[in-house]
Amino acid sequence: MKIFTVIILFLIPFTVFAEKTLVLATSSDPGHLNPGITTGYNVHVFADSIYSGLIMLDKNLQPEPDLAESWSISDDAKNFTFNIRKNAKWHDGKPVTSEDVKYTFENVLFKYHSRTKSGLGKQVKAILTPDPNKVVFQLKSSYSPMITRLNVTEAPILPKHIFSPGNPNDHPANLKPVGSGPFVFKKYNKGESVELIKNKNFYLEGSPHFDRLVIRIIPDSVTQLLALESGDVDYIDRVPGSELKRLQNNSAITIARNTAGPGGGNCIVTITYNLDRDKTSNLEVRKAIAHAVDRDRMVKQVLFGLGRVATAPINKGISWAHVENALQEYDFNPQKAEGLLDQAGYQRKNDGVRMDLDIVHFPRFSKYIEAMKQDLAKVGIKLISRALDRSAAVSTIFGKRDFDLNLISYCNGADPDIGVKRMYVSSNIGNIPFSNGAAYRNLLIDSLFDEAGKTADTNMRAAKYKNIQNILADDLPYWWLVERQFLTAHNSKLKGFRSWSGNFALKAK
Amino acid sequence: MINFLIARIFQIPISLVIILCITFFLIHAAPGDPVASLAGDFVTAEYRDLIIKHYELDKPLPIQALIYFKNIITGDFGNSYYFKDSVLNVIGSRIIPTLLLVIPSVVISSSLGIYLGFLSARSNSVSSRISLPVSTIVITSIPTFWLGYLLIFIFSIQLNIFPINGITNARYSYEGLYYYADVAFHLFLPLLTMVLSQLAQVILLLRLKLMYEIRLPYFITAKAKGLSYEEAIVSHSLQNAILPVITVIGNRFSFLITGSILTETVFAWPGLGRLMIQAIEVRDYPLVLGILFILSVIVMVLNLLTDLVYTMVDPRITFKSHG
Repeated sequence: MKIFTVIILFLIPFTVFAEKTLVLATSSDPGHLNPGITTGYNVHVFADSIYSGLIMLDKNLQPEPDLAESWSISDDAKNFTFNIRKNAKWHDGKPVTSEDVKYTFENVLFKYHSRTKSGLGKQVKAILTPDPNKVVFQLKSSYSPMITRLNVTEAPILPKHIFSPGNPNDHPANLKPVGSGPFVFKKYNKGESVELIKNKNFYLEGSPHFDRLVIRIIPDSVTQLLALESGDVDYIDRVPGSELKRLQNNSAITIARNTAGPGGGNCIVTITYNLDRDKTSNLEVRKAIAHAVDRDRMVKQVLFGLGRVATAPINKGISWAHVENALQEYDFNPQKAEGLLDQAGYQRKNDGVRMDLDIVHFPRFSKYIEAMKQDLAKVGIKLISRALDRSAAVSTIFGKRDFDLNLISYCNGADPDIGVKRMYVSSNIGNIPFSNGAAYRNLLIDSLFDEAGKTADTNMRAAKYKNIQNILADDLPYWWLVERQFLTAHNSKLKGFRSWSGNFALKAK
Repeated sequence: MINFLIARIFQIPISLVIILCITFFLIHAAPGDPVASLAGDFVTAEYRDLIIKHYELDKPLPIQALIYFKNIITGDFGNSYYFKDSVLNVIGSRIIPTLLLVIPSVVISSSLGIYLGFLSARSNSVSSRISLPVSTIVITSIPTFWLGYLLIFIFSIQLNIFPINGITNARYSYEGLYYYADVAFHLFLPLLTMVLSQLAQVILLLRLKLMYEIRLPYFITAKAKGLSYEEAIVSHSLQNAILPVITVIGNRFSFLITGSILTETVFAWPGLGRLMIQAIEVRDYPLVLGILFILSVIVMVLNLLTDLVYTMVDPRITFKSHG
C-alpha cells in the first residue's frame, strides 16, 4: 500500500470502502461502446460486460444460457426457437423482449456487425416474435454454427426503445450505453478508463460479485504488467511472452492460457501467397517456402513456447474439424526446398540469390519476419520486408494487392464457417479487409464450404472440412505457420475469470 | 509595436489555412482508410462501401476539402470517426492532462535550469564546472521511456511511494479536494521524467552563454568599477545570456504539447500526444486535423509571446520596420 494512499484513506469517509472494485487493464481506447456495430476487440473488451447475448460460450466454446434460458432446434436444423428470460431487464428497467432481438439483428447486426452480417446475415430468412419472450429464427437452409454465433461478442442484443429509430452508427447511446449485462455503464474517461457498476437486477443469481468494474487503458504492456504485480490492477488481457518466465515464478500472479479471446480466437499466423504474381503463383516456389521455414524455431524464439506449429489450415482449437496431419508432407527441409526452387527454374545467381520476394506485414509481427528472413536466405530467397501500420497494410494487401507475400494472424473463431471460409472462397476476393488475400479460386472449395455450412450433422461436416483441408494442403494458397495462444494474467487471490470470452468479469470473485 | 502586433495576429489565420491545406491532403494521401479499424475484421465489400459513404470519403478529395473548410469556418470541426463524438469534445477531454504535465514541467525545468546554469557558470569549483554539466548530460541522454521505467522501478517498485501509472486511483473514486490530491500524486513521476529530460538543455545553453559573456570587455569594466563577479553576472551578463534560453523554452512548450508521447505512454497518461498517435493509426481524419489545428494555434501564440518577452528582456530589439 502506498504511503500517500494510506493518508488519503484516513481522510475519506468510510462508505467508499464498503465497495469491492475489480480493476482490469487493456491497451487501447474503445472509442465508443456499441458492440453491435463493430467486431473490434477494442470495443468488445469493454462493451461485452455491459450487454448480453442470447447465449454465452463455456471454456470449450460450447453454448450455455445467457439472455435465452433455453432453446430448441427443429429436426431439419432450420428453425431455432429461443425462450428469453422473463426477469431480464435493461439497465433503465424496461424488460428485454423478443422485439429487441428482432430489431438488433435486422437493423444493427445484419448491417454493421461484419462477422454476423457475412455469416448469419446470409442464412436468416425471417425472425419471428410470437410472444415477448419467444423469438424464432427461420433459416434458408440448415446452418449448424447458428447457436455458437449468438454470444455477446458475435451478437450483442441492443435495446430497441433506445436505438430506434435512427442510425446506430451515430447514436448518442454509443457513448452512454444501456445494456442488459452484468455491469451498468457509469463513465468513460477518454484515454484513461471506463467505469462500470454492478447491475443489481441482473438475471443470473449471484453475479456479478464486484460492486464496481473499472477497465483501465494502459497502452504499454510492460507498465501494465508492473501495475498487476504491484496490485494496482487485478487482471490484464495480454502478457508479453518475454516476461512469462519471471511471472511463472511469482505465485501472486496466475496466468491463463487460451486459444480464444474476445473478438476472435483460434488464430493462425499465416503467410499469404499472392497468386496473381509470377513467382508466387508457381506451386514449386510455394512448396519450397513451406519446406524452408523452420516453424519449430518460431514457436521457441518468437512465441516463447506459447503456441504450436500449425498442422492444418484449421486451428486445433476447433478440434472436430481440425485434421492433425494435413500438412505432414511439408517437413522442415532446406535441401528439398532448394531442389524445388531448382526445378522451378530459379537458379542461384552469382551473389547466391535466386529471387527477391516482398513481404508486407504489421510492425508487431516483425519478429516472425526476422526468423523467416534468415531461413529463406539459406535457400537463396531474399526477403524484403515492408512493415506498414494497420490501415496502410490493409489497403496495400487487399486494395492494391501490392505484395508477393504477406503475414497476417487469421483467427478461425468458434466455427470454420466464421473465420476459415472467408480466406478461401472466391466470392471473397476484393478490397475487403482480411478476406481471400491470396486471390485463391477453386470452385470445388467454394461448393464444399457452402455444403459444410448447410450440413447439420457434425461428423458429416467434419468430413467436408477434412476434404477441404487436404485440397488446401495440395494447392497451398497460404502457408500456415504457427497457432498463437492468448495469455491473460490475474491476481491469484481472485478466480473465476472467463478469459476466453467478452464478459470475462461475469463470475470473477 | 501595435502595428507589429496587428500584423502578427493577422498572419495567424493565413498560416492556419496553409497548414490545414497541406495536412488535409497529406493525411488523405497516406495509404489506408478508416474502414479496417472501425469495422473490425471480416468486413464485406458492401459494408466497406457503407462506411466510406457514411463518412463521405467517396467524394473527390477537393470537394471533401471544401466541405471541411466550410465547416471549419462555422466552427464545426466534425465528428471523430473513432470516438463517435465531436472532435472538440475529444480534444477537450485530453488537453487538460497534457497541459498539467507540460506547463509545470517547462516552468520547473527552465527555472531550475536557469538557476543551475547560473550556479555552474558562477563558481570555479570542479563540482559546478564539470560534474553538474556532465551529470545533466547523462540524465538527458537517457531515452525518455527508459528514464520513465527507471523512475517507476525506483519510486514505485523499490520504495513503493508513488503509483506506477494512470492519472487517478482506479480502485477508489475520490471526489472534491481528494480528487485533486490524487491527481497530483499520480502526476509526480511523469512530471519528474519530463523535468529531468529537459533540464540539461537550459543549463548547458545558459552556462555556455555566460562563459562567453564574462570574457567580454564590458564584464571586465563592470568588475573594474567595483562589482563582484556575481553582481556583474546578475546585473549585466544574465540579460544577454538569457535570450537564446527564452527561445529554447518557447520551442519546448510547443514541442511538448504533442512531444510528450513517450512519457504519456509509459505512464498511461491520457494526454494529447497519445491521442494524436491513435488518431493517425486509425486514419481518423477529422481528429488528426482538429489536433493539428489546435496545436498550430498554440504554437503560433507561443511564438508571438516569445517575441514579446524578447522585447521586454532586451530593449535593443524593437519591432520598428526598417527603412
